[in-house]
Amino acid sequence: MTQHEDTRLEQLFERWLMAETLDESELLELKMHPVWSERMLAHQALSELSIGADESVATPQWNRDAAFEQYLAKPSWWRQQGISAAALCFSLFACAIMLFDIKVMNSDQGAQLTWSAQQQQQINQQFVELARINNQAIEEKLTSFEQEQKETTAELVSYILENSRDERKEDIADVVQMWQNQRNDDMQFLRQQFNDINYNIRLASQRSKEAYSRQSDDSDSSVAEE
Amino acid sequence: MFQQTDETLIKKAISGNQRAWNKLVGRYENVVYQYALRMTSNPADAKDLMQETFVSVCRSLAEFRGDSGFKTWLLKIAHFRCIEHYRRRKFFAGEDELANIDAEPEQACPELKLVENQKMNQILSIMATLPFEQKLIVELKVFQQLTFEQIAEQMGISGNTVKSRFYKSLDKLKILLESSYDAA
Repeated sequence: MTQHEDTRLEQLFERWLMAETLDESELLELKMHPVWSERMLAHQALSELSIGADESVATPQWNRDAAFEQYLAKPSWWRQQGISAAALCFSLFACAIMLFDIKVMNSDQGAQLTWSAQQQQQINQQFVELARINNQAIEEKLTSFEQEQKETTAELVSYILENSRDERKEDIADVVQMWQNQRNDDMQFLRQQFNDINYNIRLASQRSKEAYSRQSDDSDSSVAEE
Repeated sequence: MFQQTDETLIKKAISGNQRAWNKLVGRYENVVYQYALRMTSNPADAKDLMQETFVSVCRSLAEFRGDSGFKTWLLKIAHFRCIEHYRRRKFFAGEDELANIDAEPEQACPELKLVENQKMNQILSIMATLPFEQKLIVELKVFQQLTFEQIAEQMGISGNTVKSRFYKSLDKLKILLESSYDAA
């Protein structure tokens, strides 16, 4: 068999595989060929086996939703748009805070959002108010302190006066007492001296008396002798 | 009864319609499972392969342009998943080496008895005897009814190589089919 012949048969076989209509002579030629006829039979047998085989085998159960949820499921509207909208709002808010220097201030009326100009004015007002309150408090303090000082001074003066009078009295009394004691001592001393003098005088007079008497005795005796 | 086209179901599934996705899967899961079963000769592997295929389809569904039919595209993905499956099984051997590595026919899987259908059992037994590349060509030619040109394009080889491999497969199958008919 030439190669040309073999190629022709192969082409015929291909056409037969593609379910093209072949002439009876062409089909016979294939069927009569030992190799191609076997191949035809094999293909035919396999094709017959494949018919109906698919339907009878059931597909096992599997999780169809898993892949869908992972790749195709759309997130709910709030996750899809809500989060992005919230993110945009927060971003704009953050930008506004940065650009206008907006700050959250805690005042008596509660938390307030203020921007720089308003904030400066508010701060100035607060400073003025604070200074006024401080001045008032200082003045009140000073007044009360002054009053207190006056009262304290008066109390102190009266106390000093009272105390100094008593002390002076006590001092004078002490001085008088001291003088009296001193005078008593002096009197005692003088009396003692007078007594001593008196004693000495008496002693001296007694001694002079004794001497005189002794002298007169002597003279009597001498006279007597004479 | 009015049946939605694949394109409609695909559009709806892409826009987040789960029912459309389930309909699309329901329409083709059996095709993919049969393909996977014939290619792996193992129901458990076939199930894994089917799931992997649909995960890939789901991931790439938005990229489907409709140049070819959805079924063709789906089977192309199944084909790539199948090659990956074989690569994993053969310790990540290269695609060129795949034919050589898979030259030895597989042993029929013991799980085949789970497939009750006798015809399918026979098909699986026969397919299990073929090397991977031949098995793939038989699958695409006989069961998916693609032309040699389409198979060549899908496999990235020449049309003559496809033909030569297909004829070799038929020669091998002829003997097996004869013996199985004799036994029957």
